[in-house]
Amino acid sequence: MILDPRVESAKHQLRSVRAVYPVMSVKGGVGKSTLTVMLSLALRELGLRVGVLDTDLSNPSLHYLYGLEHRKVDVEEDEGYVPPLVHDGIRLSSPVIFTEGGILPARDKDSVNAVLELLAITNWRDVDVVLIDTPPGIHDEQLRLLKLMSGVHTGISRPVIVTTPFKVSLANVSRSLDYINSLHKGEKILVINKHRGRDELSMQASFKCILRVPWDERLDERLVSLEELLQSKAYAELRRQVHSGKDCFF
Amino acid sequence: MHESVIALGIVREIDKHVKSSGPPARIRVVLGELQNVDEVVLGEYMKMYLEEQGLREVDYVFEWEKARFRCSACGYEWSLDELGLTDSERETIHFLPEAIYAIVKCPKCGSRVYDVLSGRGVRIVIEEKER
Repeated sequence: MILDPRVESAKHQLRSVRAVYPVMSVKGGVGKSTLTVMLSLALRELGLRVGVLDTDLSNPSLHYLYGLEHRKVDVEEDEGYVPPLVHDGIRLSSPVIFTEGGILPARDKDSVNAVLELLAITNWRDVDVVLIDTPPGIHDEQLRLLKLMSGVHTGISRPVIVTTPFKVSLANVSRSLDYINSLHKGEKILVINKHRGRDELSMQASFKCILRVPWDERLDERLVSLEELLQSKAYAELRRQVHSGKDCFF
Repeated sequence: MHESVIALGIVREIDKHVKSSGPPARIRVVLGELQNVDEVVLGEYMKMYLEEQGLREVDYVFEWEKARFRCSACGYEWSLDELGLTDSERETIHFLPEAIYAIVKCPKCGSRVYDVLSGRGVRIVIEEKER
């Protein structure tokens, strides 16, 4: 019999984390990474200490959004490594911390191995909730992550599915729910990003709550710093919904 | 260096196995050359955690496994000895073995598409007693 010690190591690292939110999207380009950052800020403003894990190995981008790309990160070692603070009360664990910004062209089992390794070595001390930014798509990699999380975290685990309001995007989410449900029977959150006008949703019952982030024509230019992002219309509205619907996350 | 958390994971897996199936005939802790853990430090942490779990009598052996790679483009196979990694690169790979894909290319054709055939990380091999 062959056993992998990293599963128990990851459980240990996540032992005091109250909730884990894998942030997923059926398709790329829906603003998932930006939304992950905005969610981390909104949850932080609720007084929570937030950890963020970038598992998009071949295209990690959170370090740009948190302004980490020009900083030399000294790895603090303590039962693994303690991810650096990228904002007051927000820590980021990313493969780029180990690759000095390089990408990891890891395939298939390598991707799963790398994510499990990151979970096993990241010491989430002083962290209440963890957001996991996943690569776009609902493929084997993302589904394996959901399965993995159910094995290593005993607290709240609630996928956040990000989409745009377009009919095709919503239909894609609807079609993917069967796959997601097969590995995660618990509650999920839907975020409709770049929302304009009305939407015709037929799957409200599948989600604990639905957040609508308005189309913000100035959002791209606000991505230069977190301070700018905090001033955006999109963030203000997301923050309002997160703060008025706290039970969505707990 | 994160031997403490690796040792914790190993001991917890051994503990679960002993509780569910009884003591095994033999436990091999296989150490992949790529992850390059410090065997002495790992052993010290394991001793400490085994004692904490009341498993002082559990015996195990460390076995090293050579790291081997095969290029998906040209089929060339190589080992770590050919690479001449710096200490900094070794430390990076120690934390995250898949970081090797960001550091190393196939020595023959330069491709970054290759497989780690053996010696990646740490695994526990439990050999059961004959019944």
